[in-house]
Amino acid sequence: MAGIFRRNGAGDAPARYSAPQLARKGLTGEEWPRVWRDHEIKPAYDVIIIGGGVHGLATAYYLATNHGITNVAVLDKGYLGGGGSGRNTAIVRSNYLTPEGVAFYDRSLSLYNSMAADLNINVMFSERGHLTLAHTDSALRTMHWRAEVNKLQGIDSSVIDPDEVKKLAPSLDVSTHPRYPILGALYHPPGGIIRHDAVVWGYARGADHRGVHLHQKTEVLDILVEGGDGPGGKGAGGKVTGVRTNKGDISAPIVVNCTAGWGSLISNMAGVKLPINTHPLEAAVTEPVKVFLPTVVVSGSLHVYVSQTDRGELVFGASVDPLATYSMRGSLSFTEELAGHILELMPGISKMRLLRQWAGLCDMTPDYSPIMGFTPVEGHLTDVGWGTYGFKAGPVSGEQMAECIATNTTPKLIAPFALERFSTGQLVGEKGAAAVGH
Amino acid sequence: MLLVPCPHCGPRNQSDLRLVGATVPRPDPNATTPEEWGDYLYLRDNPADWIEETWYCRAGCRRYFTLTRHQGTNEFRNPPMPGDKVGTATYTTISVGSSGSQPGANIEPHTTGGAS
Amino acid sequence: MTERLQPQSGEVIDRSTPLPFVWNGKECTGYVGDTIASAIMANGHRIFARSMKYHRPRGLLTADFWDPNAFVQVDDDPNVRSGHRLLEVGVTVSPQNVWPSLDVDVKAANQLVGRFLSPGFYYKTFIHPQKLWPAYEKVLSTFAPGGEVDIETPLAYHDKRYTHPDVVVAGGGPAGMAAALAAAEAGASVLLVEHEHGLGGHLRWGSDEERAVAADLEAKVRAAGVEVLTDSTVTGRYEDNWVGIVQRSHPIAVERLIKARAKTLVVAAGLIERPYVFAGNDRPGVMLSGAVRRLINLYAVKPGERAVVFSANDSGDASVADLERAGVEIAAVVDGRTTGNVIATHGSQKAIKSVELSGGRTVEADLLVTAVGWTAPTSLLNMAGDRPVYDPAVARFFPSGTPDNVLVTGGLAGDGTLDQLIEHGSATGSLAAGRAVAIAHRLQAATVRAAAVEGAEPDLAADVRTPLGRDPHPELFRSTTHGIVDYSEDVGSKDLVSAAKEGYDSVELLKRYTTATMGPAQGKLETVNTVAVLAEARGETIAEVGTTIWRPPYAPITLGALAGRIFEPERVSSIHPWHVANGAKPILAGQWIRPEHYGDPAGEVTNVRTNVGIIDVTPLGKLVLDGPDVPKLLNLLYTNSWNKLDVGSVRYGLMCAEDGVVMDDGVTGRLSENRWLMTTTSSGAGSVWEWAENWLQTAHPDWEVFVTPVTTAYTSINVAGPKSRELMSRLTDIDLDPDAFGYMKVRTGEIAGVDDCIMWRIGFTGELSYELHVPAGYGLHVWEALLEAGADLGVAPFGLEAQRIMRIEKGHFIVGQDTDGLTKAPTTGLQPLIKLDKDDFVGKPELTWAMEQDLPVLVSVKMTDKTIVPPEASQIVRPGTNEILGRITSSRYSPTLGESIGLAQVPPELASAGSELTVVLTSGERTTAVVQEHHAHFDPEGARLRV
Repeated sequence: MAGIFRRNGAGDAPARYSAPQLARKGLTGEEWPRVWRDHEIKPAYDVIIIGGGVHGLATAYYLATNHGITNVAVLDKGYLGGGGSGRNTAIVRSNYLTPEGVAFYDRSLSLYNSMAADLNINVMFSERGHLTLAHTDSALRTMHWRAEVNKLQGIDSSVIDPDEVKKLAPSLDVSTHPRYPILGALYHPPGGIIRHDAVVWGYARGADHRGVHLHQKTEVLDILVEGGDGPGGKGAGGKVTGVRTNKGDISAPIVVNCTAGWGSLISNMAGVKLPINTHPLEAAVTEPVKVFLPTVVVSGSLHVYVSQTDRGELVFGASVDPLATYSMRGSLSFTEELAGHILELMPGISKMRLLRQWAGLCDMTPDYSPIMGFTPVEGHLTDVGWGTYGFKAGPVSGEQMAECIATNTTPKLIAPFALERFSTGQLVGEKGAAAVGH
Repeated sequence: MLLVPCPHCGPRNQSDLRLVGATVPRPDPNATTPEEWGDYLYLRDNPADWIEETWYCRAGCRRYFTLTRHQGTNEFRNPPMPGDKVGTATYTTISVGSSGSQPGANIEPHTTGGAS
Repeated sequence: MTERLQPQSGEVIDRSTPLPFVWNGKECTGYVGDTIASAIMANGHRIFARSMKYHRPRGLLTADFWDPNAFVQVDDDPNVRSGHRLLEVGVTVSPQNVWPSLDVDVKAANQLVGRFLSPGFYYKTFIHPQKLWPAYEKVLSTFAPGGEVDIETPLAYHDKRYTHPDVVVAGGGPAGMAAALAAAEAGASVLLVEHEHGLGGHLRWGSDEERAVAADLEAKVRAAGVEVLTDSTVTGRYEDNWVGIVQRSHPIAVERLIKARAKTLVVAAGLIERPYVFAGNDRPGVMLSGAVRRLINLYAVKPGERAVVFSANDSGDASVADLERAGVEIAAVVDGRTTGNVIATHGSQKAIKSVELSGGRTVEADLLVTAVGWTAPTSLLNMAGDRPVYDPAVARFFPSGTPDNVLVTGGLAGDGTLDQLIEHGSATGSLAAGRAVAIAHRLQAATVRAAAVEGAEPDLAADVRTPLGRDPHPELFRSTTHGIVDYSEDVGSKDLVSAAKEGYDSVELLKRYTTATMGPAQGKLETVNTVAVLAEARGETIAEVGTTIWRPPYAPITLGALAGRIFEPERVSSIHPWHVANGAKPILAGQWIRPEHYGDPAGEVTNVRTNVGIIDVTPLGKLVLDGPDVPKLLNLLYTNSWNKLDVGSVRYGLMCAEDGVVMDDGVTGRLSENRWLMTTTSSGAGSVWEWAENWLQTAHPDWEVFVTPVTTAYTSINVAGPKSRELMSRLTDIDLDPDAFGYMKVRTGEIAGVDDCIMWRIGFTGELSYELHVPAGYGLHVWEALLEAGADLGVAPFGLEAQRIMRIEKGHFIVGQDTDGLTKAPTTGLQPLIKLDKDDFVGKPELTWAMEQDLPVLVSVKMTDKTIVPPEASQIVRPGTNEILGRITSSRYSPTLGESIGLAQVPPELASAGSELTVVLTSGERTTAVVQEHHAHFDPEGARLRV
């Protein structure tokens, strides 16, 4: 298949970001070149990627970088990074429960680690350590389970006692009187937070300069398929010929669904039904205060996670809303539960003020694992169903999807995430891992 | 806080109820195939449109009933009256939110809906 | 130095009550009624803070809640809005974001390098080497703005309130008051919420006549029975008019969250005055017209000595009069409605010396007042689904359409004379009340029990209000020079232009890249200017560029108020007081607090194995099932068969979900022909009940079964040990002879004088044992009677830990510990209990296939080294590798056997007796375990429990 791919004319060499460049531009008043360019939409591309978030952009970037495939368009109905990539709480970690999960996310973490150099942009990866608190015996047992699996995979992860927890995060109440006492925690030093927008922009800029076309405000209305056994020639056995957008039809033999929140709707356009329910995931941020929380803190039992940005804001997240919906309106009850739970953990911050709340959409699958790779429609590939884990998996997903597209074979790392597993009963063991979360 | 039209209790705060999931017919357990059973377990319609789904009034009348809701706007259509048909047995593997009442929710690595 | 003026006719301060306080280390005095900011100004201080990035000195800009320059620390309370918060006696107020002090700030050196701190600065540097970023980050994080949190701050009392008014009015200006009044007069219950400390809106700092109108309206509003909340903000409008209100004025709670289910919501939030962008627009002494009007008229504070006023509207014109009355010299009035313009301010860092005007004129002044227009704070409308539309003739956004139950009045809806605004408000209030009646009717009719609601549903009242007009206003956003757009984020118009040129040229990308509008005012002052600068950079109109969607909350809320009182239930049995009094070590199990042990768990095991012990097992889930079709239900829910269970017998059941995964287990007994008692795991009590109801109501509504949860109606006690029969015989007349009451049988009767007890013979501990379910009110009595009656038998309580040890000795698994989210039934080794010949049961197809699959197997294991107890969740690996094969699911040292035992999940090839397992300990060291023939380590034949 690789033979069908062509190169787009690459653009000017990207402007290097560096301190000397900043100094020079500061002195001369010279402007920075555009971070990415606008192009006319071509009538045909080799690969169309739907979704200009971290997954879609990373896929495009690695197609161009690792495989020399540059006749690629990324379409987004809004602006780049406006979906889950810009709404998540930007936590990265690799302390999952199963070996497959650990290997996958560890690859992602290592790509995040070298990202600043690879993409020549400071993604502000703050490797500040990640604490998952245990409030019950059974939770502590699960933390041990994860720690033991992690250690066998060479991941820095261990269970620590309340005194050590207190040293790492002094604002936590580790006394025995709370309703949810802190009995210990899973400590994962390589976990941390990252500037999510910078990751999106870095991949976009890298892809653009290798010739990929980025088309914002370009909404896919239909996926064009012929020869399938479903209505309109769609569905199993069919072959992708392109997409219909609000700006016209575009031909392409390969159309990749890299969306979140609309994953099942997009693949439905090709006649592919996905086991996905869409749920909102809410998040919130406080006003800034001087930095006092040095680590990422997660409590699965209390459905809350929190970190403090360098700007001093606390960023909170929780579990997905139980109501399956495409509505992204925030709810008051989310902020109430969140505040109640966070004060359970850190009673000293009751005077901090919640400044803003927002929601994103999560495509939840039955085993909390993604649906990646080929579908029964030739040329239609998916990288969807990420639930609440999409951001941390962005780099590795892009790398693996690019390989999948370029080689027309499923890479080993994503083989467990094939769509077929739901009819063969081979659910991913991360059902457990994801469930204990964050 | 959505108002959910319970046919027995009247409009109630969403927190009083639990969304069980989209209604799906249960295949004949003695004649089904793994593919058909897999669809029954895992595949649900997920349109940004009207959808029939089962609700459980957990803090009120403790009845299960079927409502039609728009998954884009969360609007309910034609709330049923008591005695209207209720949903066929539904099975939802996705244990979400903090309801904690999903069957099997006591099974340890399954206790919380995932999050980032 | 004091800047306090002679008494003003509309002032809200009480000069008879001075309040001493400390600002920036200096003793100051204000009055009751002062805001912290007005008091600081009155004491002659003009610098309030340093800016976030460049640490430039900042003075008051808007002198209200949204003032971006007036955040202070008040005692342990960070980020206090001094333009709004009322002064209290004795408070210590400190500036934020200064180092080392407000007057001399070393970080102000940032200004020198400001030209290099272009937007996206951080993204473009500190890239190599990435390993050094954490070190940079540490330094940079000291630049975080905001106050300081004292993590020892005690959690103060908070409360919440629910209310169900017909109409909530957000905003107590003239239109809002008129709306509230009209709605109340139409018979509606009305809650009027005002953000400021008093009703009146902009009339509060207006003329005597304007204040008289406001006072008259307020009197009528209060007389009409409207509930009025001041210093409170409607923070959000959520689905179905669920309205969040933060009440900062509650007498006891620091802040209170009010949740109102409003039938209609009237949004009368007014308008927010917008700053002007020009060079030096953040120099202390640049103020908006609203700020000087408030300072003079409400607080009698003189804002400066010599002023330039740049006015494009009535508010600016009125400020000129106010300034003159306050004795401020008017150096120049520049009319923004004609060609006048402000180019720049000049002066020192801390004060204006002169103002440069269009036409090359420069005027000496220490105060520049701007009145360049209004921002429509459409946050609540956004939340109701509205997408406001920009009107260039009026230079602001207007609502485009709201749901039927959200109405808009006042400045958000349009302009007009005071009379017109009041008239529109009044019409809106009547409309809101009318719609509330229809909505109330609809809600009530939706409830069948209340279907007796009289009459047909009234039509939703049509909107026949005369719309407010729109007064032309010049589009004044930026002068010919560049200045600050976002004061709290220190983002200038130049930054926005260069970011847009770089490609961040949609409003959302621009916002993310520059952080403009992301600060504490959340865009109320900054959004429109940001959009305007972007539009200019792109050569487009504001309408084409569009705007951002305002996110809730409208005003920030403390975490304490959101949390309220924390209601996290804890459950205890009726015997709990005895456990506490007798030294039990508590352990949290789900919601239950249970005794883990009473000091010596191993001794408790030995006592059960040799004498008799009693354990409180009340958390065990219990459901009474009544009806002729109970066997059908049990056959459906459990994998095993329930057709032939006689009255007086009990049976163990295994419950799976439809995917074949083990969900719950427990014992069910048949008490009489049509009455059964089902027990579940403690944590499954609620979910199994809902599960049973789900199947009964949706799949088999024809079955006659009634399910009653009785978990806490009974206190459950397990009496276990070889001497348990002797003990029970002393307390009951029930025939305990093994032939009359054998293993797996149930009897009902009187125990220790208590009627209606249920007693069954089962054996989780492996000993002869009786499980008692006694009416909860008598639980403690029976417990104490058992201890008293069995004193000579050596009876003693035992806790959860002893029970855990004994169940491992017996090889019993616990759902959720030895099984996990993917464990299907055959793994447990209970294949005989999976009756595939039943017509149907939950999970049947999946289990039919699972029986043929190579699933993990749950086995009993002993450690080769009898003294090593591997922690639960220790991994089992292939020898010499890190390949994971299984795990130890349970482990304990057995005092009975004197060795380390456990349960493990292993692959089938390692499941046969004698298989050696390599177990990795926490330290990384490896040890071995051996698979046992039987699940039970102790008494595998079960002889002890059948006696």
